[in-house]
This record gives sequence, structure tokens and C-alpha cells, in this order.
Amino acid sequence: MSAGEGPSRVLKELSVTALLGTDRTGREGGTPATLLARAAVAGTRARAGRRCRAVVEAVVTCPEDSCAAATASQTATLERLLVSPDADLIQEWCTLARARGVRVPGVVVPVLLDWWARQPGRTHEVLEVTGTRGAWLAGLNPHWRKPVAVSTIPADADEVWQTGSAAERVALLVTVRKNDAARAVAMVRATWDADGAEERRKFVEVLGQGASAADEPLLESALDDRGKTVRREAARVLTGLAGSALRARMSERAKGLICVETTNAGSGRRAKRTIKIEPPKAFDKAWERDGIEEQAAAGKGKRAFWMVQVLSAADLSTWTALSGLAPSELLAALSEDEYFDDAFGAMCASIAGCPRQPDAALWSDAIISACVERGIASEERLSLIWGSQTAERSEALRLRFLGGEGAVKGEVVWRLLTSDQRAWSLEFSRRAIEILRDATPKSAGTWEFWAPIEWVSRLLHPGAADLFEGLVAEMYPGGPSESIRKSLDRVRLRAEMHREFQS
Amino acid sequence: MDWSADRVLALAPDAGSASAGQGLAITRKWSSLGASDRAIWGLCQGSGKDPYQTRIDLGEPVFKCSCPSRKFPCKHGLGLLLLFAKEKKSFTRGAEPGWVSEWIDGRAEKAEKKAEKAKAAAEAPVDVAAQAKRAAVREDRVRQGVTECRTWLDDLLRRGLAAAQSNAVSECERAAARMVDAQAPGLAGMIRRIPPLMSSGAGWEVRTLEHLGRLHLLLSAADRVGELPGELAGDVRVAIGYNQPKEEVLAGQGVSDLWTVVGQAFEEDHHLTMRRTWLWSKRTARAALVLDFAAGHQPLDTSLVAGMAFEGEVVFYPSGAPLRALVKSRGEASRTAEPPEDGGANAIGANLERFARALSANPWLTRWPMVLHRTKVFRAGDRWMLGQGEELLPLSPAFERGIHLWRLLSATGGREATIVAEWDGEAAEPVGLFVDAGGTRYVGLVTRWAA
Repeated sequence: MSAGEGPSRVLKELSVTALLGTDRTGREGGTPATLLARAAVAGTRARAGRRCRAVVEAVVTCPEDSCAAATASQTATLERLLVSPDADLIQEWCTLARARGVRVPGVVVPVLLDWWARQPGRTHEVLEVTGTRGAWLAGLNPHWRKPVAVSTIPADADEVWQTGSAAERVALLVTVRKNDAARAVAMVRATWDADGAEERRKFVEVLGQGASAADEPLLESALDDRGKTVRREAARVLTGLAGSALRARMSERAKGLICVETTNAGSGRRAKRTIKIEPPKAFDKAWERDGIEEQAAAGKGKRAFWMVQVLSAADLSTWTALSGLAPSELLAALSEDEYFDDAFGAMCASIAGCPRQPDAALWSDAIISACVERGIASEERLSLIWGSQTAERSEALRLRFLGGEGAVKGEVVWRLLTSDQRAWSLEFSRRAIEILRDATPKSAGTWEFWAPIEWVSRLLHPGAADLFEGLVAEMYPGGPSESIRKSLDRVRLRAEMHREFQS
Repeated sequence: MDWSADRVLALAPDAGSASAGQGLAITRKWSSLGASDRAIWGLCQGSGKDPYQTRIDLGEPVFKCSCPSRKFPCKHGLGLLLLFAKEKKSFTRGAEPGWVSEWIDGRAEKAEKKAEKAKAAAEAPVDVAAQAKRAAVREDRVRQGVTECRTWLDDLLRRGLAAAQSNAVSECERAAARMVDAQAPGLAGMIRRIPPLMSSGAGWEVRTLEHLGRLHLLLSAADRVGELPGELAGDVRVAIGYNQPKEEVLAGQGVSDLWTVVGQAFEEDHHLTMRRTWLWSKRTARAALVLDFAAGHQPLDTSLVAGMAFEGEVVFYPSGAPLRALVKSRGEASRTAEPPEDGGANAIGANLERFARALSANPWLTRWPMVLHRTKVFRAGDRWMLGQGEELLPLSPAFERGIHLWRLLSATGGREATIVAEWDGEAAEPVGLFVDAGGTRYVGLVTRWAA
């Protein structure tokens, strides 16, 4: 915009005098009244005649979307959610929209994109429902460019990989890893020697997503990396990789710690076997390479600490191979001595650390059964088990554990049901509500249950919204408190959201 | 009028009511849902013993509910209208129950009585002497205020703007308060606009001087207001802060036309929300501005929703450049709003000329509406502009900084659209646009609670 000739320039000249004050500019500046009168004329003329001249470039038009925009009421729901953002609900809306092949209407895309770009855990799903607008806007707005750019493999991926910032490179690697696992390994290899330790550690962490035997050579070599954090991360990833050489080494070590005692109880009767574990006597330096820590945390026995680490990274089939017992028999034969807890914990950790190891399903069933029989309701351990299963199996295991002869009561039931963060199926929601009804006292204390009710409100299948409202109404005959009512509102909002996408 | 969810939600007094209303837009929350030509109604079970009776006069619309909420419209009203927008078939067409028909008839009666009363008041002999005395007292106060304001302004220029910049806020607030005492709120408003201009970045002294020149012009005009022609004198009085009673305005002759609500903008000031509603007439191609005010979370009038159109009579406040107006009478709101027609009147150049003409009649005009056809968003370095070919309008820095620029861009997809913007003589602030999406659709850019 040019100041041009005429009134704008006059105004500009007058403003110099105005800035200094007529007292200082003396006679040539005139009185305040004459200065203001001239400014009034020039200002009004300038305002009336303002024309804009500038060199402009057209904005590239956005390609049209092939899918339909969300309806007005679907969109209105999303807009309400974005006013006071609740990440879970926004994510859920996007998941529903994507499943229906519906996109966010143009005018709302920037608000969603702005929210998304600030999220630490950005999902690609959200970007997808912005349709062509999302990527197009990101090309125009520097704040959104990078988060969006690294969500699809850009044409200049190699360039970004060579020159990008640490965060950009990690984001790019995540994307490449999802689309082309081998290329991700090649990229990491290409710059490995020049990258810093923290970067190398992050890259190994990314490769841990969907790691396979093809990644093993690189990861195995990382066990000898000069950076300790890199070595530890590589060991963690290899521990999670079923069939890795590291797991084989650990299983071999475990054999030395497990002993099977056979007591012959007379002729004709079956020999009774007891499984005992014996911690190692000394620390073997070779263990360190596979990620075993030598120094235990204060207050813990060193030997038990080493033992737990070895057993947690060993295949559970080691136990069965040694004893010839099936998982359930083996758990029954596990000696209830001072190391029982360590052994049991290590088994849970083994499942969680490598859910794809041989016989994992058999083992998780057996562990759950053992928990039921022995009355172990450790939320920490149980959630390790179902967290490592498919959502479907996790639900089945939770129902097995809680559906029996009510071993546990009260708030812990709520916590166990909600300890897996995945959305509940309709059938599970119905069964879970029955279980909760049995386990919850009739007149519940307000403070005890408001947090569990909130967890359920996020996980519950919307089809069970009425059942859940009924349960809460029974718990609070005098009406629920404000915070619990908010959770119920969330349940209703979710139900409404699902209904909007169904019709 | 076809109610769509976003139009209904635009009526919500705040985000909480909007989301609560959505929660109630489900058939199982309601019983005895019904509809007639002019109204819809239903019973909603709340936390109380008896269900709430919710009814809506669809004409404007007006809401009425027996719930104790102070929000207006309440969540029940919003929920009922949302439900109606979604599933008309759930409403049984039939005769209005007593609690609906009595209310609507009662309202019509009240309106009639009010009109009669107004008429009676207008005809009744007034205490002319007392009125004249009150007016004289105010005139006197304002005159003193004008004198005081001039002294203050001259002093400011004598010391220089640079020296005044540092404690402009407190000094201007004091001066503004004096003008409020002098019953010249218009002058107070102009003084309050000085500090933001003084901190508006490069070129602030030019912008500030332009504004001070305008204030000086007003003070000079105030001295000679008796010698000025009628309409100009009127504009001077409005700029100083004299109000013209609504009844007087409504008594005037209006413009009957098909009016489209082309946009709304909100301004928060000292817990007071001001809403500017811009209307555009189809046949006479005129713009009108309807102002509404609400304190705190009080609701704003719900009868004008951006994107709708109605046949009606709109009366302008007398002015050399008539703009502010009131809706005198109106028919039912129509289905879809079409963007005002193109007759060359929607070019940037024509709009700027119109603004220049208006400014020559009333130099204290602050905002002017523009309905711009076939307009695109352009980039000029790190600034953004509206453009039609060679003709350009810069966007205001505040608009560029916020999310609204991106909403505008995204809604257009970089294509041409009919964009509605406010022009203040320096920069444009778009408030909404008409886009072509299988038929023309209005898209609003600003809402009250997200403003």
C-alpha cells in the first residue's frame, strides 16, 4: 500500500509536528488548532480516497474433495467440542467421520487443524477428515506446515532427513516407518554415524514400532553402540521382538535359574513337581550388553533384581520346556516361597514385553486363572496382561477375571474394568455394567466414584448409555453431583454423536 | 424458514447452553411434541416433578419455557428447535394446546397494547416545560464538556504525541470519564480509542493524528451545531452521544424490501457485548446496521440470524449517510438467503466510492459494510488482501493474526466467493461469506463466544 501523493503525505508531514508537539516546533508548526484542522481535512480526504496498490500473488486453489462434507448438526457438534477441547471426544468424532467417509466443512478445518497441530500425540486420522483443505491450508500456514508435511511422505523426504531439525526427522521417520518399513531402516543407517546419541535413541524407539526380523541386524549392532541410552533402547526393542537372538540368549540364561524338583510320593502315584527359582550368584558382564542393569534401586536385593530382568525377557516357553508342564499346571506348581512374587511378576512382564511370543494366549489365560484362584487382584500386573492382548481378548480376559464368584468388590472393580484404555464393545459394556452393579454399594460415596465414572464415560459403548445412566441413578438416589453429571453429559454427547453418524 | 442446526445454535447465549441444547435434541427426552403453522412445542422432563413446557413462536423466533433457567433461550428451547430442525416428522401437526395458543395470543395482545400505549404517549400532552428544562441542562453540560475536551486535546498536541504515549491509557481514561460526566459518551468513546492507536505499531502517529483530527472536527462542529443543516447537525449530535428514542425512529417512514442478514460482528467492551447486524436490501441495494447490546452473559435478541432473509420494513435513523436502522415490521423469515445481486454495485471500487460519499456526508462514520462479489483472498508478502482482479482491499492486522483469516481462506478454498466485510477506511474485516456448495450457502466467520 503506498502512501501516495496528496492527503496521505500531508498527514504524514503533519504527524512529525504532532509527534514533537507544537511547543517544540515553534511558529512553523502552527497552533494545535491549526494543526488539527489541517489533519482533519487531510485525514478525511485520505480515508475517503484510500486505494490499495500492492503486488499480490493468487493463492493456489484447493483441489475439490471427492467425499461429502459433514452435515450441519455433525459439524455443530465438532465446533462445540473445539470450544473447550476434549482430545478424546474430538478424536472420536474424527474416527466416526472417517468411517463414514465424511469430511469437515471448510470453515471449521482451520480450528480443528490448529487444535491438532498443538497436540503432542497427533493422529493421522484427524488430518484425513480435513480432506484436501488440511494439506492445502498447511501449505499456506507455517504453523501447520511441518506437522502436516511429515504426516505423509513428502517428495523431498531425503532432503528433510538430511537437513531437518531433530523433531522433524523423528516425525518423518514415523511416517516413513508406517508406509515403508525397509526404507526407514535404510534412512537410519545412512546417517547413523553422524547422528547424536539422543537422535539415535529416538530412531531406535521409532523402529520399535512394528519391528521385524529384517530390523534385527541394525538393532543387534546398536547393542554395541557407544551411547548407553542407545544400547538400552535397542535391548528393549529386541526384547519385544519375538524370536530375536536376544530373547534366545535370555531364555538360555533363564534355564539356569529355574529348577524343577520332583518329589516321589511313593509307588504308583504320580511324581509331584515343584517349580523353584534360584537367583544368580554373580553378575555376568555379558548380560549388560542385552540391557540387564547391574545396580538395583535402593532397598532391593541385587540378585533378585537381576533374576527378574532375565525372566522378564525370556520366552515363557522356557518354563514349559524345562518342566514338561502345561502353563496352568506350571503355575499351580510354582513354589510359594520368597521368590513367588518376583517369578509371577516376571511372567506378566514377559507377556507384556513380547505379546507375540510362542503360546502367549495360552499363558495369558493361565495367568488370569491363577489370579482368580489365588485372589491376586494387582491392577498393575493384570493391566500388563490385557494391555498386551487384542481388544477383543482383553475384554474376554477382564470378564473372566471379574465375572467369577466376586473375588473383589467396590472401586477396584471399576479400576480393573477401565485399566485398558481401549473403547468398550457393546456386549462388554453391557456385561461390565452388570458386574459394576453387583460390585458397587447401593448408596455410593460421591468422592469414591467420580473418577471411575469419568473413565467409564470415556470408554463405554454409546449403545449402553441408557444402562449406564440407570446404574448411576441407582448409585445416587438423591441425584448425582455436578462432576458426575458432567461425566453423564459426556456419555450422552457421545451417544448423540454416534447417532448423528448412523442416520 | 428452514431451521438448520447451525442457525439454531447461533441463537445460543453461550457454548454451555449450545452443548446442553444438543444433548436435549433427542426424541426420547420429549413428550407431546407438536407443531402448528406458527409454533412448535413439547414437554421435557427435567430434574423437577413436572415436565417443563417449552414452546417456540417460529415467526421471529421467540422462546418460552417454564424452566427456572435465566439463560435465554434456555437449553430446552434450543433442544426443541434443534430437534425440529433434524426431525420434523417427530412433531405431530395439530391444534395448539392452551398453554401454547394463550401465550402466543397473549404476546400479540401485549404488542398491540404496547403500540397503543406508545401511540397514546405520543399523543398525550407532555410537560413541555420540564422536558425543555432537562434538555437545556444537558445542552449546557455538553457545551462545557466540548470546551474542556478541546483544551485537553490542544494541550496534548502542544506537548506532543511522543511525550503523551507513555501514560496514554490512564490519562485518556480520566478524560473519557469527564466526558461521561458531561453527558457526551460519544466524545468519551473517541478518547478511549486513542491509546490502542498509540500502540498500534509502525505509523501509529499518523493513525493517531488522523483520529485526533476527526475529534477536532467534531468539537468544531459542536460549536456551530445550530448553523449546520439538519442532517449534518443530527450526525454531529449522534457522534457526541445524543440518542434518538427508538419510538421516534420507528414513527418514521421505512424502506420495504427483501432484506438479507449478510453478517454479524461482536464487540466486547466493559462486560457489554455489542452486536452489529448488517442487512442488505435486494431491490433498493441498501445497507442497514442494527445494533443490539447485552450485558455480561445476558442473551442478545434472537430474531436476526446471519444468513436469513425476510420481507419487511426497515427504518433508518436520520443521517446524512443513513446506516443505523431498526426493523419496523417483518414477515416470516425465508428459506435460503441469496447473496445480494450483482449490478456492478458489488465491485470494490464502487464500494469505496459509496464509502467516500457517505464519509462526505458524515465524516464520523466508523464502519461501512461491503458485499463483494467474485472476490478472492490474495497474498502480498506476509500480508493478506481481498481482491477482484486489480482492485484490492487490505485485511486488518487483527483479522490476519487470528484464526478468522484461515476460516475465510478455507471456506473459499482459494476460489471466488461473495464476501461480506466491514470497512473502516483503512482495512477490511470479513464477517461472513456466501459460498457455492450445491446451492448458495451462507457461512459466518464470527460467533459471540468465539469472537
